[in-house]
Amino acid sequence: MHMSDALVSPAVGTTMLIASGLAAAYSIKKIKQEDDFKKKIPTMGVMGAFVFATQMVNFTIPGTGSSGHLCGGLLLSAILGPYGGFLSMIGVLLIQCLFFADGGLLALGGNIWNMAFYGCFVGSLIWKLIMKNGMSKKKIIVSSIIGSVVALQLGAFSVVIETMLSGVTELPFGVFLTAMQPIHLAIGLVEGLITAGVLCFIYEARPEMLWSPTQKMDKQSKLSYSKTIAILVCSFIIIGGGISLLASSNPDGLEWSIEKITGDTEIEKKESNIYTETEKIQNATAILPDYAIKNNDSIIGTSISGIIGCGITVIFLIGLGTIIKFKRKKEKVKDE
Amino acid sequence: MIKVENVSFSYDKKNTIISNINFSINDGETVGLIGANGAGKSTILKLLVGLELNTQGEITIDDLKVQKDNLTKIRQKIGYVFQDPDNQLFMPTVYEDVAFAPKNYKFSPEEVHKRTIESLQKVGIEELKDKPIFQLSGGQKKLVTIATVLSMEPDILIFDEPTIALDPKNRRKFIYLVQALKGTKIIASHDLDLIYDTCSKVILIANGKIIAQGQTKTILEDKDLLENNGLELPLSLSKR
Amino acid sequence: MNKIENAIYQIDMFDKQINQKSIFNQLHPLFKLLLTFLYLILLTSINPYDIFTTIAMGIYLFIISIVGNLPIKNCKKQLKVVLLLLIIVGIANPIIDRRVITYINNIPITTGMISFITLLIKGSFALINTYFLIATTSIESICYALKMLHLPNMLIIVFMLIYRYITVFLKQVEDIWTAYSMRAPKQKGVHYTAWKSLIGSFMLRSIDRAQNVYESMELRGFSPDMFLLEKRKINVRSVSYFTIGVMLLLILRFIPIFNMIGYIFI
Repeated sequence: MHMSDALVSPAVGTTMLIASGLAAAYSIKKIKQEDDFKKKIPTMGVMGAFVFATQMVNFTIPGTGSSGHLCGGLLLSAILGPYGGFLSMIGVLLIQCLFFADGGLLALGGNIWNMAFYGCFVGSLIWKLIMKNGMSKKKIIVSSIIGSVVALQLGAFSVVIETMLSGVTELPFGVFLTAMQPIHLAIGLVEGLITAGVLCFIYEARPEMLWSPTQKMDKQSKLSYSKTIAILVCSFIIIGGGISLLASSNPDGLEWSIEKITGDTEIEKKESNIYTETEKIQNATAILPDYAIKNNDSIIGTSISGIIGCGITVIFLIGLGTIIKFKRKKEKVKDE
Repeated sequence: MIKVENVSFSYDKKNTIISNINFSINDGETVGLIGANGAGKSTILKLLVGLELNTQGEITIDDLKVQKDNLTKIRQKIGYVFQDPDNQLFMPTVYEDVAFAPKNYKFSPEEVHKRTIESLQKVGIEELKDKPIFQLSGGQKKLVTIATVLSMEPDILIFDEPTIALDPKNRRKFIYLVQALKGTKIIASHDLDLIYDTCSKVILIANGKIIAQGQTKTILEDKDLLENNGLELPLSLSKR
Repeated sequence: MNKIENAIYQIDMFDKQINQKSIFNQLHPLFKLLLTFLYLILLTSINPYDIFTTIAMGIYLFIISIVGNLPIKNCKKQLKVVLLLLIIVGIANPIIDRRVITYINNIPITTGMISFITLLIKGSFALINTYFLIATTSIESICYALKMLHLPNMLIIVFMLIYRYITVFLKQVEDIWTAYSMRAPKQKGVHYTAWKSLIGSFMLRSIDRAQNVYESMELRGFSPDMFLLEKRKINVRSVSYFTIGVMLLLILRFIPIFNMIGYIFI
């Protein structure tokens, strides 16, 4: 699921951008150490476009009548390795967010993390674990399915966490989670099955194309378990730390979201406190709070001035827009 | 001058793709490399530019041996036009794509610009320069691919199946263009009418071996020779 | 599969718009990108209950739309998708958060309702804002701006290549799907027996294409550290556009202009 800009707060958005950026920088460093890295560049580009196009294909899910799609992180990694796959997916996501409004620029970091990072790195790790003693069709199927399911579960979980920390939804954490995880279990299974099928096909036709960690172990950059786990832990610390650091400058933000994650029991209490609550909001947002309070002490008064101001401005702008549009049309007619 | 002496090539030791071929091409000649699908035409072309390295024998281009450490020098001399223009045109716009090679060979920005515009003019598509590649027609794409290699100002031009997917008008246009271009030209194709119109010499290949080489006329008018090797007389000749 | 045609159409549409030469097309891409990002940060940092500031941020988009002659209706389709997603995520707000602020004609206005509407407005504005960037900036310009922001060359080349080959592959997928559905009528998607071979063979062809692209780059002397795009000059116009843009955004974000206008009339 692509998160859109409105679902992330600047704190969450920038933190995830930084985290994904670090992962990208690390991948680039690693790829440059590979022997055939010059060849990897066009391959990443072309295969990225391939994944983009394949995502458009509907796959009928047997017995249900509905259809599923491919996300492609693991598929790319199985050809390009985790680093190449990750960079390629970043390109795909950037294009989707810019040209197709799937996700947004601010949410890009989060989307890269949720969809590319887990699919490529965690997926590859599972792939590698299973392929330890050579490759076989059975192993490809097993690792594709497990890899896709795990990656999508982690991705869905991250979406929930990021949305919650951004404080845009009142949905209780538990409800959101129980809605997201099972859906993504099904999506993950379909993704795994398609990936397994395609990779088996490649294995039959050209097995040398598949990323096999054992065979090129000494040459290709190593993706050891301890290292990957260390990276994962580090990134979580960075993300956690970053969010809390950035959020602390936005005082009610974090408090508000954490309250929600731990289960909001104070709604009733808040209800009686409504005036102080809204006042707090006013003070936090307006740089010129005096202006609002000077003439009118009550919040409703402020709101009325706001509503009137807003209404007048909007009507004025709509009028202006129509006039300009009308004029332009006239000019066009004249030109013709 | 291109010299190919006793060259063989195989991916693994069992199946030889090219076996023991010999030919030479003088400066300024236009040579046709003909043969049925899978005869080994593309492989020979790739050996010439070092995309594949021959396992036996020796290829020299202007006295430079085709081997790893000479590749940069050799490739600067050769313009290779691929069969599918989409594989060759990978930059966003026509201009950027034509400027790709001179930029990579580290010419000054002015020189890059000059070469880019000149090569666009040579193929007569200067007006397309700011167009994105995906908006071009098949014929336009082919012309752009030629411009992309002309900007390197190569001595040798190689065309791999150039007229595939061109309509008659564009095909005619392409033939005129090839005739107008200077330098050594190698055209690999099974479009024998094209070869007949453009080449002075022909090399016939089948199963990775040279079956015949010589004057275009003598080979392309030999019906039996062509038909035995998966080809047919050029249309313009068979009508008579 | 309408999606494929839509995607091809969209790329085409953006390209036509870029050729229309509006005022914004000639501005330096870096400034446009930075301003787009600043807008997003300012917009999403607005408190979920602060509906007036959120609406005020629309004034900026309005001005851009008018000055640049960029009709918003062109991104209607994407807007629908984004709004649907936001409704799913945000619909709980009015249901759960029922703290009443005021009554209008005896209808209670709750904080949940406000935050829900704000979310939808934010989503739409964020999308329109990105759309304006793409409608006035070509892919090379965006890549150039990313390079100026010190994004690694490799990533930019990959990004450019993906964009270049998307149309090629979309057309192929369209052909594959047409060929498939002609022989398998009344199927909404690819049957599971064909998953493997249909995508698998497409993938093999793509790998071959990648190999060819690599070869063609090699033959033209490709080096991964070369930056390949034309330089773009920073002119006075771009700088002044940026300065005015930043100031306008800060005013809209931090000064309660609606309240101020309202006071004049009360």
